Amino acid sequence: MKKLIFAISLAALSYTGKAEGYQVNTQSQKNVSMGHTGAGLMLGSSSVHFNPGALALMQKKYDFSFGGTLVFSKVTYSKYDSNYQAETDSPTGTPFYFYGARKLSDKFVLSLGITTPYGNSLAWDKEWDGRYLIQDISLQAIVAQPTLSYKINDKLGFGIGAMVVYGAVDLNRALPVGSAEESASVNLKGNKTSFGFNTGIYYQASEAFSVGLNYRSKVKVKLEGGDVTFTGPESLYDYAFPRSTKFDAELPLPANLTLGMGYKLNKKLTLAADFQYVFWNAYEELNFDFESELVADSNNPRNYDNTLIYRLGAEYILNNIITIRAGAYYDETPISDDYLNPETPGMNKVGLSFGGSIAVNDKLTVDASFLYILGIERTSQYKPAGFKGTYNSRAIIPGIGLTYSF
Amino acid sequence: MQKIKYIGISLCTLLFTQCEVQYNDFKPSNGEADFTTFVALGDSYTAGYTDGALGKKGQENGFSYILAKQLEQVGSTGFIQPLVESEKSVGSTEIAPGVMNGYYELQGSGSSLTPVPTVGDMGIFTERVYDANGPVQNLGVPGAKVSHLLAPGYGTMNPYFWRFASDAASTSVVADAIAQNPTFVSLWIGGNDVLTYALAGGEADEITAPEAFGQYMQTVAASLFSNGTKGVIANVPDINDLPYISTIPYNALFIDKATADLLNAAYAQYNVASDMMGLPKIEFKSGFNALVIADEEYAHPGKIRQIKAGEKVLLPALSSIKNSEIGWGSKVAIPEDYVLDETEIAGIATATVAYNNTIKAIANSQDYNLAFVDLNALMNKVSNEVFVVDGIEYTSTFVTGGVFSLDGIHATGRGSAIIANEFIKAINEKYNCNIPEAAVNEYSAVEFPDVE
Repeated sequence: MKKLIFAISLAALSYTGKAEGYQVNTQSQKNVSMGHTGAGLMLGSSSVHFNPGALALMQKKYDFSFGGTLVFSKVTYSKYDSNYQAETDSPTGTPFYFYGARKLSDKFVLSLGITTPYGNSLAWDKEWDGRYLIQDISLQAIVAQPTLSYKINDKLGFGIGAMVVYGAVDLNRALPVGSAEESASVNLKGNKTSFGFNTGIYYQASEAFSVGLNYRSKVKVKLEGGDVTFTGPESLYDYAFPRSTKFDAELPLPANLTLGMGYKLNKKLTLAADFQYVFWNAYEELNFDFESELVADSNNPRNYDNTLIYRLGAEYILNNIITIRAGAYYDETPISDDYLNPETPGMNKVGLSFGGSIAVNDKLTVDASFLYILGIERTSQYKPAGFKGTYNSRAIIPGIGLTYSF
Repeated sequence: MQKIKYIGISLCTLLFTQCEVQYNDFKPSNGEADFTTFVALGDSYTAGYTDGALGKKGQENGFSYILAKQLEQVGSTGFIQPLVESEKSVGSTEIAPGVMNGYYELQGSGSSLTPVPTVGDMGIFTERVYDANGPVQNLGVPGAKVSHLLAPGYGTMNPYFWRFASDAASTSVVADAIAQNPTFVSLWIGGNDVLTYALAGGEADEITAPEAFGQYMQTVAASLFSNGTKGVIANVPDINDLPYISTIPYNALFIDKATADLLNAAYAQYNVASDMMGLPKIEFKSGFNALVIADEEYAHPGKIRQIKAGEKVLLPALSSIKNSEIGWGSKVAIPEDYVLDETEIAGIATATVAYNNTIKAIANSQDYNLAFVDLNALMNKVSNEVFVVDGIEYTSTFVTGGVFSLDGIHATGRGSAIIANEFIKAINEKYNCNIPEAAVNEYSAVEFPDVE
């Protein structure tokens, strides 16, 4: 009976990443509208996230920014060799950010960032064809990052911050043992606080040219004692599965190394480019240990590949009041063929963005961004579950924020 | 400023309206085949028999119906079934005088979950569902062997056919099929030519001789396909892949030391005779033991012995083996009609191989133009390999395996959809067409009770 119910192959928690898989990066409206570049730029307190090294060269004494974003995303599934089709009806994502930076002295800048870089939700119909792989999943992660930046000289800055990551997951999946009335399902819920670090150096080579290198460490999220709740036919409780049990699982949020460059073409126009390398190969497998003897532990190969994200952005200062920005990026999927799961329907993605800032006065600006992400159609399978099809995706992501500095 | 606003708004509008998420639409095509009039001939599998009986639930989850539904995408104009009008079902096991079983249902809970037959509705056998304006296209008849498809008046022998035969007294299944001038025919027959014998423990009915099977099969094929009608033909699965045959292992008797000692004492006298005759003793130890079976041909005067590893005990013996009061296989020998001994097994295996050679030869014949489905290979894969479809691992395990229904022989809705998809793959390959496969998870599975 054990075998019948599981393997719970909860690929689910693989929602960890940078942009791919709708881990849309929305860590600052200014950066979003420039293709989410920023490792080689000093755009204000958002450098807490993009490159703590850049913050060392902050001019103002105080810099605060905060904002929120709406993520409208949709994924479609077209079953292989069949006319079955389905699409997600995911709730609107609401990532937010807050940054505050204060110059302590000529050399030191102290800052704090609160971001939601790993939040996501994906909901298929309860009765859809892939329900035995996933019905819906919600993953939230909030990162608090106290950071210290040090100005080595007028051109070179270094910064390092501790990432305190609070992660929570909640997912539902159907089980192939129904009664006449309802089908069975399992819910997994867990949360955990984990730690990592974010460091960077920034070099203002000339008035025009700047370059930065940012490294965000891997964060090992060890979920312990998460809740597992079963819903199913009364006759199967404590036989095929318990009413509830606990689970342990561990998954890595991968490290990121980003090389960024900024180039001021003239007083008005700045260009930026980032190359972000994501060490996805840390994600080899996802293993679940269940406390109950009735539920078989499950080992799921993931075999993710390292990826590179290419980002380009531009900023144009129109006048004293208005600044406009635009950008684009190309984001490779880490998920190899044969491991494409509807929990994480990964595909290569193109992001196009634009936005701008309006200065209300010399301290306050309103920042807005609009990001459109198009997933490039992918046909593949999740081989361990024999589930094959074509996935398409799209996301529309408007955001707004404020910057206050003096 | 106004200009920027304008550009911004138009861009937003463009993105929202022009960039709807795409689908990868399936493009059905009929290729070189014409599916306008589709008929299916066969036995209980084609009829949609499941959970030990024929009823509407099974007919709407049967492989031929699932196949027909997919064929509607490529030109089929419909598929008329001899749907059971009663809300109930009827099978072929007499559970009381004059009363047949209905669908099996799981009762109990946990380790006591057991399939129990409901009472069948005998009224189903007197439902006449034949309509001259819309003759039945699912011509699957539970219990039919190859020869029966050709037999005029088969409707008087088999009430399932009587229900929808154009003229029960004179017509045959093949004749009713041909009368519709089908453009595409599915033929899956031959299982009962060994199975009827096997289900009786080899004590009733007989295996159709392979030569006779060959002749009947050739005649059926010639009648249906010699005018160039296209179609699909499937072979006969090995009975060892059915839970009905394979669920009870030969050494199913699990006992402790004390029980073993008691049994050894009880068989002491038998073993004296065994010693004298140089025959194996009946012996028990703690742990798993070979079951004791009746064998009229056996040299020992007790006419019982312990079963050999390759021999089979049929599923209905299970409850009497488990029940230590009854004590089948331990205190009492399991009756012969619940056992397939090695001679019977060998006879069935030889016949199955010969049948499948005949079917393969017809499929390959230049005289016809047929797609071939290797269901024997499919069932073998389900039984012996990791077989995963759309998030579910299927096995041939009784009740929980997912492919087989509660009778241990016939498919669940999902098992039927898996079978239908094998047909679709074979047809697509043969006729260069593009029939969409069924989504297996849309079909029914074994139902577990909600309340004890």
